[in-house]
Amino acid sequence: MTSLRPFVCNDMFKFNGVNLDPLTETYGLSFYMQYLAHWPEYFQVAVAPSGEIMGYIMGKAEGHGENWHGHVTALSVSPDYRRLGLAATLMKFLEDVSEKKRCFFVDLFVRVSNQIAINMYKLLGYIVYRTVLEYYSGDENAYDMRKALKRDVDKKSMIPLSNPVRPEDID
Amino acid sequence: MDNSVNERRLRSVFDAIDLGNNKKALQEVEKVLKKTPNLKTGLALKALALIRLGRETESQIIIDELEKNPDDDSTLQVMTYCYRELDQLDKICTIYSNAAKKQPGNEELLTQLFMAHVRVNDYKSQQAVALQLFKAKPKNPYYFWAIMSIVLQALRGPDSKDKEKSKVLLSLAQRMIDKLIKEDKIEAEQEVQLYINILEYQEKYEDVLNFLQTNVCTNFFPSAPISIKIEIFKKLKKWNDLMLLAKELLEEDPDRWDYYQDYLLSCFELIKTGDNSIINICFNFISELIKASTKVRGPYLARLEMFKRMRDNKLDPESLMGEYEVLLLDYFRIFGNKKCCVNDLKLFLEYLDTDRRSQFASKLLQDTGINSTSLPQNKDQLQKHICSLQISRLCGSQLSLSVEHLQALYSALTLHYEHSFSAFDKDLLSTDIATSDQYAILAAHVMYDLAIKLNSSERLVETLQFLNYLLRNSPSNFHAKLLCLQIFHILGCPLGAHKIYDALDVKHVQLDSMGYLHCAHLPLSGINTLSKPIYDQTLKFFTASYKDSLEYLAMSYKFGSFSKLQEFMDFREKLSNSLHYSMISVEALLQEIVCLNGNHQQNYLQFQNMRIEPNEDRIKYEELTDNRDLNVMLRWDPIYDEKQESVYDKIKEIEKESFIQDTELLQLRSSLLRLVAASVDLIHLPYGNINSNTKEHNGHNTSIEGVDENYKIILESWIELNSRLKKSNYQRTSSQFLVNLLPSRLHYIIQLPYDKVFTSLGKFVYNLWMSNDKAKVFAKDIQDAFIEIKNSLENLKPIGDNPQSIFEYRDIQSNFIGFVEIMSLCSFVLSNCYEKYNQNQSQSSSSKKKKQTSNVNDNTNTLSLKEKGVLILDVIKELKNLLSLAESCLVKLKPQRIEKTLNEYLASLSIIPKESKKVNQPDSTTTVLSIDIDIHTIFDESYHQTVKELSLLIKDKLKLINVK
Ligand SMILES: CC(C)(COP(=O)(O)OP(=O)(O)OC[C@H]1O[C@@H](n2cnc3c(N)ncnc32)[C@H](O)[C@@H]1OP(=O)(O)O)[C@@H](O)C(=O)NCCC(=O)NCCS
Repeated sequence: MTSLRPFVCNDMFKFNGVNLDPLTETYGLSFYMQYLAHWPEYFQVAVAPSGEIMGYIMGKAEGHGENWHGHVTALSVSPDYRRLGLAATLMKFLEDVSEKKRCFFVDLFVRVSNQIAINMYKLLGYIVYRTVLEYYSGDENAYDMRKALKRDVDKKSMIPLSNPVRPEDID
Repeated sequence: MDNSVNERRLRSVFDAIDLGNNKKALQEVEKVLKKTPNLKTGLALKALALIRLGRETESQIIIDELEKNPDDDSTLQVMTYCYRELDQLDKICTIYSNAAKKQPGNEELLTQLFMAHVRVNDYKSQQAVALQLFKAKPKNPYYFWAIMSIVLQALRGPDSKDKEKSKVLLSLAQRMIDKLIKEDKIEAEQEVQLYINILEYQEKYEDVLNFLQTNVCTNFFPSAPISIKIEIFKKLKKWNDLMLLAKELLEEDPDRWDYYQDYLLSCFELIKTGDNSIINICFNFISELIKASTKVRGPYLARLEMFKRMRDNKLDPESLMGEYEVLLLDYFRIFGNKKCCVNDLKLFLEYLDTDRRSQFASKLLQDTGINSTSLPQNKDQLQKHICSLQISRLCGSQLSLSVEHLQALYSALTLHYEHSFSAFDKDLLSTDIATSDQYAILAAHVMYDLAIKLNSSERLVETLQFLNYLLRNSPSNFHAKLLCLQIFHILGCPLGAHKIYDALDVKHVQLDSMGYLHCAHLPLSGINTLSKPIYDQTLKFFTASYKDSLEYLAMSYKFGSFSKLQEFMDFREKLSNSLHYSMISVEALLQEIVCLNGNHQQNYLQFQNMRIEPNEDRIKYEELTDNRDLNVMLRWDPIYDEKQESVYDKIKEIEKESFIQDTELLQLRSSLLRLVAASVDLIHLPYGNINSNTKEHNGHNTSIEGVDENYKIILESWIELNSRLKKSNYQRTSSQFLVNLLPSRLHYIIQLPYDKVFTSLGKFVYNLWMSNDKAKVFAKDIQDAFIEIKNSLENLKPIGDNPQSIFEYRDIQSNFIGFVEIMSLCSFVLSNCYEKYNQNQSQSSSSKKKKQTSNVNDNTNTLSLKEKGVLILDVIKELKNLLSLAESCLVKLKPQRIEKTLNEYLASLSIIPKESKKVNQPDSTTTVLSIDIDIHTIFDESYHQTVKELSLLIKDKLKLINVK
């Protein structure tokens, strides 16, 4: 049972119930502000009937030519509101925006250890496109996962790479 | 000189600055300037390095010189940095404006000038520059910068208060876009968005609706959110349209609470117009959604919401939907296995009749199939059971329980936890929170109730034991950490609190929103080595954010996200007006003075470097904001108390009251800081009582006159504030429930003799300076106040092993720390008095003698330097005794022994702890710090740390005022 609305600055004072989760990073202000300034339509928050923040998604659109794509930068749902389909709803929202912006695909990075999230993304139609070595602090690898959008008719964006790449080589 | 040579030379300076190595930067730039002393970029860089080294006066001289005619890009840029750090943002406008005049039409310079105006909110100048830019380079963004600047003038500028002017401005902004639309020159989504906003500001809602249909809008803003339309329908009261739209949206997504709200709103508005058939239409629609959907909460909650609204509108919901209680029960039967069920039902419990609530709670419990002899068999049943217990608390069923029953409930909850954890959560990932944890969290709340009933701190220690056990099993559970944090502070155990706080990894904006949970209590902790880094981190966050936030405004223009501009401006204000920010700024300065640990000269130098400006209180008290995240801790406290008064209203009241009291506290602390600083400043000024002849001849004395007045104002306002606060009769806010906000520190401060000590000290210093023999009276007053403290310290009973009430230790410790703070501040002020009046006696007595004697002739009430010295020594002697006494009393703070180790405690609950099992670390580098605070020993450790630091502090003070 969700209300979706654009994330606003003041939500940062209230998103602790989501962010205290160990897999959710609290970034410096400038990081959020940059997304709010640049891609406000990609930053959505899900609010409970009580007004409490249940989760949010933060993303952007970038790339040139056939690499024009939506990207999920952060997705997190409060432990008290998990398994309600909220992450799926938020992902769908981001995919819709990306469709409207005529993106070719949506991608995201996830810790290779975050099995729950990886499985969820797979269920939502994403595949592991490639491994990015030592992407996270502490040198953990990331999966770069992707899902083609309508514009990528032949699903070219979803042909996995066989070799891992280094973070400095991702475009 | 060849430019490239200079550039190369300056490279290393830039590099050093980038790396934060300002000393090196200064050295390098000096070398360059030796060869080319007039190199402007070099001079600017020197100024920047000086600022960052804290040598602002020197740098200001260079900058003032440069300001006259900088022209090259890099000098301008470096100067921009300087001005930003000096907080002289208007100067940036000046230099770019001058530069732009010399090179009209220079796009880069004009852009910088535009941004400079953005930084100082000068919308009118922004508009002018944007139009200049557009003229030089006819690009859409510049045109829209101008439009946005006009909109801001209409909404936030000085003209915004004048309705007519604001109207004219908005219509101008609209026409400017109309023109582009006509010429088919719209290029971007943001432009369209701004146009819609401008129409909305003018309340031209019909026009928005029409515009949404146009090609311009659909082409450039295909992702226009439906919410725009919804809001317009509401504004225009197009209830029928709204109903149809919401219905359509819900058919697509039956789990959207916002759409239900809109749907129900429109239905009930239509009903109000007399169309009663809508009731059935609405009910049927929701019922159909219920039938069609499998297990989404939306339509079920919508049904409850409809019931509520019908009742509010005096319609008869029962005849349509049956009994409310049954609906609630239905909801529970379907969704009780979801963690959020309790939050959902919480919204609707209020509408359940008072006499039905406890019965309802028992029904839920029954429905789970679990009773005193059975245990949950699966995870669904487990979650349902937990939900029913939480609801039973919400319904007030636990309010009236006796001590025995509460104890039994606590034991049951701990056993349920133990069982369910082993049965269902054994394979928990370290990054997950166990379902069974909720029993333990609830148990903590219950135990707090019990502790309050018995007024016994022991029960809270037990709670800590148990929560700590939980955290061993489930190290990610931040709810448990937050409760531990709260309990540690209630019990006055700063070290324990600190350890838990570390594990929460609070950072960035959380330092503001969650600062109230830990940082704000630290002034009472007495462990300065713990609090200082957190103060520093907090202040760094605020100052950095304040500076950075200007760049977000610039960014908004760059990306054309005009819709965010005002939000960013408000956010910037909210951050800089944060009560927590001001509070910690003041506390950090007070702490710095208290902790000065050098000799007199070193201390005085350090004090001067703090640059406290006693004459002005820069805090804008009326504009302070409350940025606390007050819902971060979960609670299921009864909706109504025994007297059937709303507990939520009370909680809201506490939140409001605590903000008010903390604002008063801030005033008091700021006033104290300024008084202490002003006293020290005064001591170091030339003597005040110079007879009128010299006054007339000596121009300098007029400034002393001003000092005199300013000092009196500061002292008066301190006295007034104290007497106002004494009269105002603020009450400690209620601590009935575990997660209630802790009472404001204000209460400790006002009942300690701050007022008496610093009022008499302030007057003493003043009369010394005036060489007035009233100083004798105030010396006596200070000594009296010291004797009061002495008595309190002597009468302090050692904690010992007697049963202890909940806040007892915290109260005693806080008072003690307050005493030490008072003594430390006095030591600092008096050491300055001593140095000034006693040390100088030998040197200055001869030169002053004339004046002194002439004064004696004029006025029999003057004080000789020697007399001053004697008075100061008297006071210092008393202070020394007091400090020694305080040191010897530290042992009285030794806390109660914690009887049981964790295992012994668990055994008393019939829990045999598993071997400290390794939690399932996924193959990950996300480290979930395992927390293992030994409750058995932590109180003692905390005490030892406090004693260690306080006694060191006291020794430093004794050394400082160790005079004969
Ligand atoms: C990953 C996360 C976002 C999922 O949020 P959520 O709202 O609970 O997910 P949803 O309810 O939409 O789940 C969609 C599907 O994913 C799967 N799934 C999600 N969480 C699962 C879990 N803990 N165990 C097994 N499957 C799970 C399920 O198949 C689920 O559908 P179902 O409930 O109908 O079976 C949430 O767990 C989270 O915030 N984790 C911490 C932050 C994080 O890891 N973010 C991702 C970083 S890229």
